[in-house]
Amino acid sequence: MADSPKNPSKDQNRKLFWGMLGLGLIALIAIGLLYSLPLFDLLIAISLLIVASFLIRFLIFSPISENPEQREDSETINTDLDATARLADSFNEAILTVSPRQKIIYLNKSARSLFPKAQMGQSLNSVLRHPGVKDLVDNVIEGRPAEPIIFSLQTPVEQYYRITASSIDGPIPGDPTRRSRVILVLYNVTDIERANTLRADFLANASHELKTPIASLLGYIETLRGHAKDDPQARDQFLGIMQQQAERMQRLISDLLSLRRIEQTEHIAPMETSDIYLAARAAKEAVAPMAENRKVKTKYSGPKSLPVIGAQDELVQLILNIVDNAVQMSPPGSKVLIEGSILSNWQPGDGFASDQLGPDSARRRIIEPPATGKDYAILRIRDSGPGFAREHLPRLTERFYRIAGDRSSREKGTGLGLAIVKHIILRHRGGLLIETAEGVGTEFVLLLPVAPRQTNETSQASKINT
Amino acid sequence: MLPRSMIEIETNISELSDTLTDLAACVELMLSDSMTALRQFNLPLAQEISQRDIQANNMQRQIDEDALRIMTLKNLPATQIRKVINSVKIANDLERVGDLAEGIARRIRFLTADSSPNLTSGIERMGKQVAQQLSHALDALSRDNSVTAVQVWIADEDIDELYNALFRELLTYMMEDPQNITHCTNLLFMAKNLERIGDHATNIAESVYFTLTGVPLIEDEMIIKFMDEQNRGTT
Repeated sequence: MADSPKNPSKDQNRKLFWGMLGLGLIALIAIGLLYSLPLFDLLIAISLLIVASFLIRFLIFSPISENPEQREDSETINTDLDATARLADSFNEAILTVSPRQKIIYLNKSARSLFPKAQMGQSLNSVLRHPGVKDLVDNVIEGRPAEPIIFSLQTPVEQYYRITASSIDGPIPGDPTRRSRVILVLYNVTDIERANTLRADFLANASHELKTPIASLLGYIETLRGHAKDDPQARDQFLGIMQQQAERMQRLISDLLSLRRIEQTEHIAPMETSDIYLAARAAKEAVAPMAENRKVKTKYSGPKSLPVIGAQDELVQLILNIVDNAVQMSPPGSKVLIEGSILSNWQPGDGFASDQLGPDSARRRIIEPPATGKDYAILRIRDSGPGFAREHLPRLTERFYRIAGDRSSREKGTGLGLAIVKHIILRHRGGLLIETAEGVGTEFVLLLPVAPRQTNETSQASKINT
Repeated sequence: MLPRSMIEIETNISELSDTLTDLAACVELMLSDSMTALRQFNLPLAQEISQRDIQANNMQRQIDEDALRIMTLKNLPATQIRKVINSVKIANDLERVGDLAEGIARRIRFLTADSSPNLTSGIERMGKQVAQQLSHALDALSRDNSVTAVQVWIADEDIDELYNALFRELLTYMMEDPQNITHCTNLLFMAKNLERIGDHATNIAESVYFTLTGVPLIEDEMIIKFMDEQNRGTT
């Protein structure tokens, strides 16, 4: 056992002991030789030394070196409850235990983070607000069959849980006054529920939105096969339109697919660190050819590094959607401004720049950042396009919502750009504010949680900006 | 040791708040079920909602009776009186929410099943937001959180704007084609009901705030800041 490679510290201690003993002996012999003590005295000195070293060994080293296994065992027995709690904490599923009178007596780690305000002794139905919960627990206590229930949480994003319950103490025979405690396990079924609704939505949206371009394609094909058969001029013109329609359908499908992908993962916040400045630069480069065509300039100002918690390619998609819109809306010769900065200690109501678009602008907080007091990286994207009326603001990020009379967007856009923007922001637990003034322009304000590790850099960045 | 009368008061009030939470849970489910029924055109589910409304009404009556009984108890402290009155008010709001959700469910069968998905999606969207509002207001109640109550109050503005936008949209559909009128009118009533539910959620938030702070919610610092911002652009 002593040579077991698992216990290097034990080996070391043993070596130390023999080393000390050896040194002691040599020293003693040296002293003996120097003072030429009689042999008897030397023997006594040696035995004293041995006793002393054994004492040292047991008093000082033994608790660590001798029997760690045994020590651990006794600890396990002594702190059995602690270990059970640790075991329950290690589950991803939220686990709650309730007394027979449906008061909470235990919450594991996941349950505590799911219901941060729940307290011991609180009644179960005030934590899990669902009319079926009470019956579920009662059924379990009475030993009746208990169907699991689906419970939905609204904050911060919609989540669904399947709740199963089982009795801890089992039936207590012959004693109707004693009732069992009940353990409830919450399985996260958001993925399944979401997949179901998304599939239905996707089919409905896709079929509805593709109906129109397909009908028009069919119309042109019919014409080309019929009376425009031998008209080369009409044929060229029609093929051009048909290509545009087909391209639009392609864009529509790819937008629908990416929207669906983001929605599906929306309840899982990204973990990695990305740089929103790099994302803005990538978006700027991507729109450069179109901007040049339209004689619109794009300009970035702010720190050259803005690390945030986020997925880089989603951030690029997010900014690209807004910048692309802004460039399309801007009149020739104007500028699209992108401003990056850091906002420390965010408070509800913060975020809008002061009066950039005049005093009569309409403002709307589409998504409030969820965490008060945290630091957010801000990106403002401002165009000097036509703006729009206040009444459109609440519905702007709705999929397929189009501002009535806006013919150009009907032709070019898929109507999904801002819906994608919204869902990326939601997934990133960020914020989205819009300010617009008719005839002056529109400003989009994006807020994304600052990555925690680069505290030095971010504080530097905020210094530059304030 | 607490005197017997104190224990009696405590048990009675905790029973009252238990019934209130039950009512809240019931009504919340009615609202979310009405939206599911609308989305799936699920008529049996709509029927179930009507059944639940009877339960909700009974619970509200129960709360009224219990509250009356508690008020006759001796030595009732002032904070508890506020709590009891608050429970009665909130129960009243919740019962109305139940009726409105039932009203939505009742109209589903008058809709034409094969109508454009875009028409009902506006209602669903609004329904989701209203359900969230109600859920937050009830969270504020169960967690004694005045900040959440303030947030609910502020977000009601959103629902009003959403309702106005929806109203205008439905009106255009009706003008486009008179055949849409029946369908759209039903949807309009649903939107109106949802908007009313949002108002009741705000009422609940106001009651919660007042019980916790003793000050009307309108006088909250954040509300004043918000109102200032809101007045921009409208004048």
